[in-house]
Amino acid sequence: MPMQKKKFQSGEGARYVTRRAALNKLQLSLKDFRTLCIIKGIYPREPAHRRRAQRGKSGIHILYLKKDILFLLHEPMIWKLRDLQVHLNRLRRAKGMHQKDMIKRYANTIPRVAIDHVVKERYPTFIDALRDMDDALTLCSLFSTFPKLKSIPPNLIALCRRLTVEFMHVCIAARALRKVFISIKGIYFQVEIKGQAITWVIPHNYPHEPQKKQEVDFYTMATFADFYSTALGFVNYRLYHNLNLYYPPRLGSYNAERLEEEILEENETSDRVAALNLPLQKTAEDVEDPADAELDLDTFAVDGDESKAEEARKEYEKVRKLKKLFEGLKVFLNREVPREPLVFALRCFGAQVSWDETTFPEGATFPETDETITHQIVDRPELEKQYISRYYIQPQWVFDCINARELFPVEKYFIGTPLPPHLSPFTVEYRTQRYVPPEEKALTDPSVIVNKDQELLDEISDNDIEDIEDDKKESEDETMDADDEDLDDFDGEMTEEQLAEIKRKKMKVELGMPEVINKGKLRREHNQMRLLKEKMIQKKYRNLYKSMKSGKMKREKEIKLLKYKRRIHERTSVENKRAEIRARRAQAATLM
Amino acid sequence: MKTKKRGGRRLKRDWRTKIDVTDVDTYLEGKRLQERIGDPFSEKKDEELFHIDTSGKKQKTKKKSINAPLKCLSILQSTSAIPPLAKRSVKKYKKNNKKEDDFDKNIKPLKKGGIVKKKEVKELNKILKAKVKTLELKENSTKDLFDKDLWTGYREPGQRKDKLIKNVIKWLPSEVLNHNAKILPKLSNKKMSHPSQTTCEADDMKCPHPGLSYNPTIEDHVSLLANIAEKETELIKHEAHMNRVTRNLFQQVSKEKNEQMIIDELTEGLPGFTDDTVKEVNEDTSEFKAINPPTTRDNQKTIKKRKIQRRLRNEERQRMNAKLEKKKISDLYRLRYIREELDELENETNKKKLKRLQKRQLNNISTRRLGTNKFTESLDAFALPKDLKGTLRETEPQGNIFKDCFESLQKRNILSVGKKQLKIHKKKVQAFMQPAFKVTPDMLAKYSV
Repeated sequence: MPMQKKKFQSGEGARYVTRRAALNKLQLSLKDFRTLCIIKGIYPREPAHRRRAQRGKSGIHILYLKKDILFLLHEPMIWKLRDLQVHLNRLRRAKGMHQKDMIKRYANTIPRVAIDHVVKERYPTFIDALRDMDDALTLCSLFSTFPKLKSIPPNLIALCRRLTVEFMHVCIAARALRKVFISIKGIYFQVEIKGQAITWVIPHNYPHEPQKKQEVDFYTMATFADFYSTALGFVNYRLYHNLNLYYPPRLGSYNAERLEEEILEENETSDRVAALNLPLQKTAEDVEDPADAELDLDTFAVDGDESKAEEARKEYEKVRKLKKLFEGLKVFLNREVPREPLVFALRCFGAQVSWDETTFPEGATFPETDETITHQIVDRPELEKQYISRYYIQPQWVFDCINARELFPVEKYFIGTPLPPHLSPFTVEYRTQRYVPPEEKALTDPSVIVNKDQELLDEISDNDIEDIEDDKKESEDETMDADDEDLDDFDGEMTEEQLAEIKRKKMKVELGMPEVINKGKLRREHNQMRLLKEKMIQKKYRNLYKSMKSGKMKREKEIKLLKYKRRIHERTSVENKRAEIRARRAQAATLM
Repeated sequence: MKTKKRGGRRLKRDWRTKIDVTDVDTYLEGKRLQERIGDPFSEKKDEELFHIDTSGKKQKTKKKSINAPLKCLSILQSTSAIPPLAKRSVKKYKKNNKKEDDFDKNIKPLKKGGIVKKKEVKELNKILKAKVKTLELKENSTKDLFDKDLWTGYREPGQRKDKLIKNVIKWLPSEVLNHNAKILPKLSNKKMSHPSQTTCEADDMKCPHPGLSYNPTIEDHVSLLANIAEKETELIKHEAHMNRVTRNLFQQVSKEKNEQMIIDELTEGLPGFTDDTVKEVNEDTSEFKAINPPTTRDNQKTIKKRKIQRRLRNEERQRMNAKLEKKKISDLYRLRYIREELDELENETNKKKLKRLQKRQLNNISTRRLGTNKFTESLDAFALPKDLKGTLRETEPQGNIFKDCFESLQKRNILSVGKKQLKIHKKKVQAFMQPAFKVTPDMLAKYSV
């Protein structure tokens, strides 16, 4: 009799293990296992056939690949975790027994589980690490806002704060910021480092709101933050050294008094660094500033695609200009303005920034009374004492300028004026055919000027309004055209008799005439060609084509409708204003 | 005086027999005794031995405390002045006498606000300048957590060995490596690489909806609200459906009525509870009837009928057999067609398999079910038009970034969705009061509280 084949010895049943089995294999507690998995980047999997993977058991278990668990088995960190467990047990026992000296000894010698090698293992190249910085920065900047909580180790919060500030510093030094978006959730920043776009959110500057424990697992998130903070630290180290800067950051010049304070503070982030306002000290002199760095782009196309190369060159030129956007500006921040994001955004483009000393004790470089200040950022309806030599603007100006990559005129952003909408720079253009309001058009194309009400009042006369109506009729005609093009053959600009006359005078030598193009005929021919092409479409693609065409028509219709609505709206508003003015004049006349 | 014995002193034997060393021994013995019991009295000063009694009072004899050791144990105590040998088993800790380099005790923070003497400042500045110099000298000896470049090609001197081994491994044949792997585990070329795991690509963290702006355009805001309203209506619809399918299917009664019904049911037929007034009606008087009653003589089959039935059955069987035989022969001819059919079948299954694989790959991109609970996306944050003030100062933050982070991890199949903890489990601590501290009513009465 042949050897009987046992069930689940091969195939899917053998490939997966449950979490319980993994715990038994690794000899770890659940808590340690979770930590290990998060740090090593091993996640549970969903099998194709759950019943088979669970070896015939019903229900839903958390499954891991057996290979993954074997991979974890080789991790030297497991021994460290076991040691830590023993150590903590001893500490707990000492606490229970009230042995003060033992408590002191154990508390001081808690072994640190180093995860440097895991960072290197998970991100084999620096670019890989940068690609994953989105989550890291979001989480770290979030953790840095937390107060001391029971479920989060206290030094983690300080470390997160330090690392985020350091990252911002390096962004300033590299002039890496590209986009900013203020949402109701928080402020989104996007920087570009080594060609990688890194986006992160920082929460609004509000006091900490206690989280509901049922929503988020704090312990898990603290483990994530632990790993990400380590990764961010090493990324920071590399970024600083790439820019020839000291790491940990060293600010401008040494001042004896300041240095002493920094020494006393030791591990905590010093206010001077957190102020983000002083340049970092360099390890080497005469190094090229990233703001002035120039790149010699190839003039020839890489893959023979000329337009793409041209586009890239244009983009590069834009970014080069963007890096020096606020150069030469001297900006003062009022008390009510969120300091950190604004200082970051302004300094990233070369502005000089200062603020009221009451908002932040360190780093303010010049007082409000300085006459050379060009802009003061204010976020209150009115200000009593104003200087003539500077513009008083609202903070949105800074962010809109960055997103548009040019300095906007300040009139719209003056103190107390209702602001234009703050548009998201993160929009994905997934629809090419859509209604673009003139305000948005003006953002991308400065030649389009949005009609202001006053201009409209002057420009639009009754004739224009008639024109609009004509337009409407025309558009209707066009739709009619599309329906029955085959019927009206004689709708061109030139009749056939005229053509015949031209032919008759063929023999004479006359002045040269420009070639007459019969536009209507051309269009008709074009249409016929199109119809023929449509007939050639294969059967299997016909439905797709139909749906595409109908979709296109629909979108066109929508755009037309929206445009029409907008014109009506503008016209009515203009008429209303005109009526108002007329009424006012009439009133004035009666008063006279 | 003894005369010296003649003889050589070259060997140990000579010393033992020929040379008298007693005087040296006694001297050494005396010295050791002195060490043990201390200096002799002759060498001690008077003050150490005597004292002048000026008080004139009798000294009270000390009472023996309970804790004092018993007198009988005094034999066991050592009287020697030599300190006992140190325990060898105790591990000696090296005391870390190294002072912290960064911190100088001379440096104290200047008093803020108060008057500082010029002299003091001068002194402090001097110290600090020296400090700065030393710090500048020791640039590279930072004790930071992050003090190396992980992604550099440069290897530290210690790491060079690894590189060397790797280079050696390159040209060693695999048989040699496998043979030596047991002795030198480092030689083994097998190294587990990090398992690549494709996580779900979808991440809304990267691209916020433009309507989320603190000062959005009307179109964007409307579209955001429309999205949310759509989701909400779906939820409401689902809830209504669930109600219709579950709760509304059953009749609902009030609590009192329910209790009454239960009591009625439980006391059914018990004497004293049920109303005997209701009389049994409809007493069935009809006869008993079986479902398949036995045959009687009246409805018995005739022999003829049976014969006919049997004949028909046989004929049917024969016909079927003939058909089978015929098919066997025809199948022989069809053999090559069968092969084609099989090929076709295989082709079809392969196609299906491919399709299934593709589907699975598509599924891998999306959120999968990792644990008992399914991931449900919570609604996005939004602000109602009345909450949009249009200035940064007045904007009220909405939503919860921490929760978003957590859910984004769940969405990307990194975390399994756990059970929502509705209760916070606190350890129940049983408290006891010391009986002495207990307050009884009569105690209260005693103190007239």
